[in-house]
Amino acid sequence: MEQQPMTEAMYYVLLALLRPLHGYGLMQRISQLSGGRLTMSPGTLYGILSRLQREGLIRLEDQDARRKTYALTEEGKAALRTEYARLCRLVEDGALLKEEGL
Amino acid sequence: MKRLYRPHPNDWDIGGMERFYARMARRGWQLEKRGALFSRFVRKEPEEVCYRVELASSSGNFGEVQLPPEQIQLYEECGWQYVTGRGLVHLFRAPAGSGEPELYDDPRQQADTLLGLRREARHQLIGACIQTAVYLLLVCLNWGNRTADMQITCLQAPTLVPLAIVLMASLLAGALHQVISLRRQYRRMRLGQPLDRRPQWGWRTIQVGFWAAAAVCVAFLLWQATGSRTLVPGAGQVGPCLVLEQLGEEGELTSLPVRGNSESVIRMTPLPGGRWWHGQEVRELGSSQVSLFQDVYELSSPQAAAKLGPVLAQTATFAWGLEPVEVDGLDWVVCGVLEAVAVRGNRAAYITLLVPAENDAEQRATLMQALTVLAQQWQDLA
Repeated sequence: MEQQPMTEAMYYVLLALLRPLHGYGLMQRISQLSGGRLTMSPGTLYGILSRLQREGLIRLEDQDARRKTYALTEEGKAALRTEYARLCRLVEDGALLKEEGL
Repeated sequence: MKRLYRPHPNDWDIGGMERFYARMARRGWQLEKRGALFSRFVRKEPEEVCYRVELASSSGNFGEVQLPPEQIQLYEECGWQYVTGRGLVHLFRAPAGSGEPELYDDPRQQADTLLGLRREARHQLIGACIQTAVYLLLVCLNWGNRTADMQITCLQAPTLVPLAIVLMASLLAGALHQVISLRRQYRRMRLGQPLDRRPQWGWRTIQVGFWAAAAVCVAFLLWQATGSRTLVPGAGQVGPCLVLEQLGEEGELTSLPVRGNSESVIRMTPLPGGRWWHGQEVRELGSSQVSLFQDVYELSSPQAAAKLGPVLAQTATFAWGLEPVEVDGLDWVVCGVLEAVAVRGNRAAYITLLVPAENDAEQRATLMQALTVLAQQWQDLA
């Protein structure tokens, strides 16, 4: 089945999870990765994490630890690569703008 | 430690809940536990606190639904301290103006958290509708003389039925408003608008109306209760009631159902007219027992009494055995073996008389004799 385009928030969550992180660290990492452009509130982030977990793209790494750490699954890594490739194609296609002098 | 219980806003009123708990904290009462109708507060120093409600996803069953520990941990790391929760509603707090991020910055994401509450609200509305429909159906079908019972209740305690109707309407309107309000909130948030936390004055006005109507009904019932008085037949206070002595029955008074050992009791309740309830039992020598129970009503008009007569007959224990009879001095009478209903002018009475008799005919004859005495008594009172 073809993968649906991700929302910006989902893409950044997966991107931030290239390194396993706990929830609050994830929020800071997303802000850092996006140069402060994207800040995520805890409720919104938790909603996205739940959805990604349901879809099998991320997992809770250590269930027993006091601080729950999230990590990408193999499916998550594949989905991130696919989305990255899609975004690259979009940018490449957009190069036409420069050629047209816009 | 000093504690305080206060009724809290309903689950659907998210903005109302957040304001209510913040206001209590400002007054020095910190939320400790949220119950079904009341919240428990503990005495602390007054502080400016911001509360936020988070709704758990319903598992499809009613009851407690806990938030996942990782969700609570994430919120706590962002400065929101978990306070308490009940059902789907969970509360977090943070010092006001501490720069903590809002729980949600995406209303569409937050809208999904309303789904569980919406489902519960719909179930409650369906339950309230079924309950009301069943009751109305029973009344319409006159099941178990429910209509006649209700007419009697309306007369004995005129505001009891309106009170029940007000409470039922309030529950139904509350359940309906809950569904409408959550639906409106959900649609608004799906369109990207933030949660509407404004006070809902329209609904509050309706609620105040319901409570005011209920308070008026209760006040009338209290007036009736406090205005009730007891007559002492031994001192000649019989009102429009019969006493066994008038029927030539004398003997030792039993203790039940008569309160007090020496006198029979007549309880008078104020109505637009009045209602007398009389219970008397005497034990004659040789252990035979005579019992007399009466409900006598004095109404505003003879027409009202004429309407009440058949209703009293309908609610009689042995209603099927009552037959119309003629008694001089009474406008309308039905009489059975043990019971009779009589009407004269603006008075109506339901009488039960039990005497030691050989057969039904003898028992009925005694009852007819009692009706003749009653007719004479009412004539004298007029």
